[in-house]
Amino acid sequence: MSRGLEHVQNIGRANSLLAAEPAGWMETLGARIAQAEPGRVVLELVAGPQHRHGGGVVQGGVITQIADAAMGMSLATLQEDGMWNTTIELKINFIRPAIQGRLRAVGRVVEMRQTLLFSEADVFDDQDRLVARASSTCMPVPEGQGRE
Amino acid sequence: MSSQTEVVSPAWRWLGISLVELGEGNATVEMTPTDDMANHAGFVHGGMITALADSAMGRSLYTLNPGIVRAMSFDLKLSFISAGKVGEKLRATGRVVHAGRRTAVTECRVEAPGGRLVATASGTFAITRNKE
Repeated sequence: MSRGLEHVQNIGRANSLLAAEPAGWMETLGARIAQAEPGRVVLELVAGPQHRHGGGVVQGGVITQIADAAMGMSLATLQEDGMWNTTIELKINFIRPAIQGRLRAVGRVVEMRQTLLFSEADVFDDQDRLVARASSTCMPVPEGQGRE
Repeated sequence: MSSQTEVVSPAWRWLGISLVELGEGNATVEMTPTDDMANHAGFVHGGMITALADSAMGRSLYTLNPGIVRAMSFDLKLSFISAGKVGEKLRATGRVVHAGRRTAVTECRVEAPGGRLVATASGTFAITRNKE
């Protein structure tokens, strides 16, 4: 549950996240947005050989990537149009190895403050086992900053 | 629930940490910060809140079955969300997220009266399982 500062429920943004075709890193990695509602965003990735390191399991950065994105997007669904966020700190625990199948990163908002935004994510495998747990602190920034 | 059988560590005694509630995989502890626990700004020092969260998470591991004979944190992470005030009772609830053979992952919420979120935490512990 999110508390703290009054914030918008940006349903329009949640819907446009859901409608958008994967582009950029999401396309490269093969990730997609499976669910989006204010305060909660779910990313999915079907893990294959292209995501594994030499040890034969999905590389931690791949898991971190979808967790980070799920967290950042969940925060964005509680921000006004014209504002987005950037991660300033992130921590993750890898709980069990993932090898293949659908990975789901469920990002949720913990708290929205004026200058700092807090979120968490759980990453599950296709048998709904907890693969990783992450938390992050983000900072609000104008949408589109640093792009083009 | 009874504190009669609870062996309180010197650190808990010194900080005034007490056990409030135990469940399977969770533990709630309380501490009322004193003037000695304030930082320069007059709020509760983050290290004090960290000690409370660490205690709640560590204690939650001892509620597992099969039992754990030793749990030592080797990684702690806190997010300080709102300031803790001196004299305002802090309640920390630690929960086991995952317990493996040698390590365990826990999480914690620290709340002030009225449920105001003061901090969230996660901790990783080296554990020793009870040999049947």
